[in-house]
Amino acid sequence: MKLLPLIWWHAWRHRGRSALLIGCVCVAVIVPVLSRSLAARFERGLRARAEMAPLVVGARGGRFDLVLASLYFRSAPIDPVTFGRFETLARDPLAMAVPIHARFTAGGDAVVATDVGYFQRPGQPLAFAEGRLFARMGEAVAGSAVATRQSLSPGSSVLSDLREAYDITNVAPVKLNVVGVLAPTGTADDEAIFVDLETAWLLEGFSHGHDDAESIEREDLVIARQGDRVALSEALRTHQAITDENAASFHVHGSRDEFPLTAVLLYPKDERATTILQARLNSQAGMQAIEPAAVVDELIAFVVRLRLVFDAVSIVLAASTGALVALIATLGYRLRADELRTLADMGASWRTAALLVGGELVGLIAIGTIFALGLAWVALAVAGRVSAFL
Amino acid sequence: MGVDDQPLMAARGLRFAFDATGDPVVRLDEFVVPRGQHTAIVGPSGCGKTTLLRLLTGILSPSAGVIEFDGQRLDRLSDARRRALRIGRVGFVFQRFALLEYCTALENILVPLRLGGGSPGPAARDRAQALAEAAGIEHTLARRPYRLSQGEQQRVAICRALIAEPALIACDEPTGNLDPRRAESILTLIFDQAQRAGSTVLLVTHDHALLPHFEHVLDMGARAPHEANA
Repeated sequence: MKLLPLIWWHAWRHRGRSALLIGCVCVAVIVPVLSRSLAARFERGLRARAEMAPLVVGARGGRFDLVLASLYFRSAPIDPVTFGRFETLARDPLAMAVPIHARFTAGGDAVVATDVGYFQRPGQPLAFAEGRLFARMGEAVAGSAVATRQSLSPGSSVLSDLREAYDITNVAPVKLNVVGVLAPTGTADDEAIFVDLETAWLLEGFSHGHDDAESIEREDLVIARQGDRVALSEALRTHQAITDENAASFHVHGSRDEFPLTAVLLYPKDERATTILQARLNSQAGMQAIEPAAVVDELIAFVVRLRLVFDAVSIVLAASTGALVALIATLGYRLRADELRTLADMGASWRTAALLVGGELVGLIAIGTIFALGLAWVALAVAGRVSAFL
Repeated sequence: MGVDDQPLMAARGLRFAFDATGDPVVRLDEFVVPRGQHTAIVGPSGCGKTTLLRLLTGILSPSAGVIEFDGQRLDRLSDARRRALRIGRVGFVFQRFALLEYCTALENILVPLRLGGGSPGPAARDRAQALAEAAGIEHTLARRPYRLSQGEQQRVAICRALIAEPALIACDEPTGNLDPRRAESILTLIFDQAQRAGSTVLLVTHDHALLPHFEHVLDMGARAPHEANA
């Protein structure tokens, strides 16, 4: 303790060198700590999400794409599965089926159409921070991160995005009225806006609402009348927002059985049911039933390989920092040789000399390490806010 | 003979060589440093003055002979005990001042107390202040050595040697870099402060002009080193 002031004064009055050493130690510590922590969190986040659904059913194609699109709501080039297929699965007593339609965005965030089963799924029911579940077409529930990012709360609204800005056949943006906000989950649910399937059909352009054909006064908008059937011009303006007044005017064109879904989440009642369903669905043409946990494990194996690269970088950094510390220690000892000889003449022991030189190095390394851990902690906290998986 | 009448240091049959087979660089049959007085070791460069000072203060161990410090056989003490004795009882003034460049003048003065154990308290700081005032450098206490003149640096070094109130002040060419007028004032400062602290002064110099200030002189340049009363 008596030598601490001497150690501190030396470090402080050579602060350029001290800062360099602290910086090098900081980098050497923060790279492995941060990369390993982020990778571990990423793995945990991916696994937890993958375990959300025992089986994911979709069109035959890329397994990774199907999992990414249906569980992480990432845009992926996959063929849709039909709503009719979902209804067949929903009638099966072996499992509970939840539809997922994640083909649109609003304000850049995924719009996920599903049913009440998604919110009451076994083991992981979703809680509301405020508001309630959607009850009709046009109502939306925002994930916590989306609500924060887009300042959404019950009573506010968000417009759906155009899929192609220059496609004149596009369905115009639809106003989604927010009626609830989910509590944070640390999963992809935080990053999505949830609506019912009727809203998905509206976004797809399979349904719309407009004034009653009988009450249309402009005859140029009526192409033909045949009994009760009326053919209307495309120039007729459809409603872009669902209100109490116009809600009844919305109707579907076409067969719902053919409407597209991204995937169907299946919650089999037991392991036997899982095996039976997987075997049955995988034998059907154009279908696949996959266990997302197994797919994510493959993905994580890739992440682990990536981590090896970070580990190699960390080893190089640690070695170069070690060399720098050794260089500074050696040069420091040489530069301080006269001072240490003077102190030895005055009666200081070799231990005092070692404490003066070594204590300063150890102190600076400790400060660098503490800095690195503090920075890593802040970085992890920020990363956790930026991404649901970190 | 009372304790005060006994010499502070004595050496008999002293021999020292840097390697076992080489010729001794110090050869001294008898030498006494009287307590409370001023003794000079004089001689040309390379005659072994500094080596003798280092032997007498326990920094070096003799190849042969006896060294006594206040009745203790220095040549029989372990390195650790010799170090402890230096810290507690010897104050050093080095030729090139040897101040710690990263410490202020005040911090430099307090260094021996830190080496001796414990942090210097307010009393030690007051004493450092008083020493600095006596040396005329009280206005420089917050400055680091590179902002001090040579004379100021030497005064800081003298204050450092005196801070622990040592029994012996060992000075190695403390005036070597100074002009005669400044050399004399430095010498006066050392003597005055040593007298106040009741310390004995043992000083190495090659400057014969300083010898009239000393009660005892050991001339190392003579064919056989001999003591003389100045």
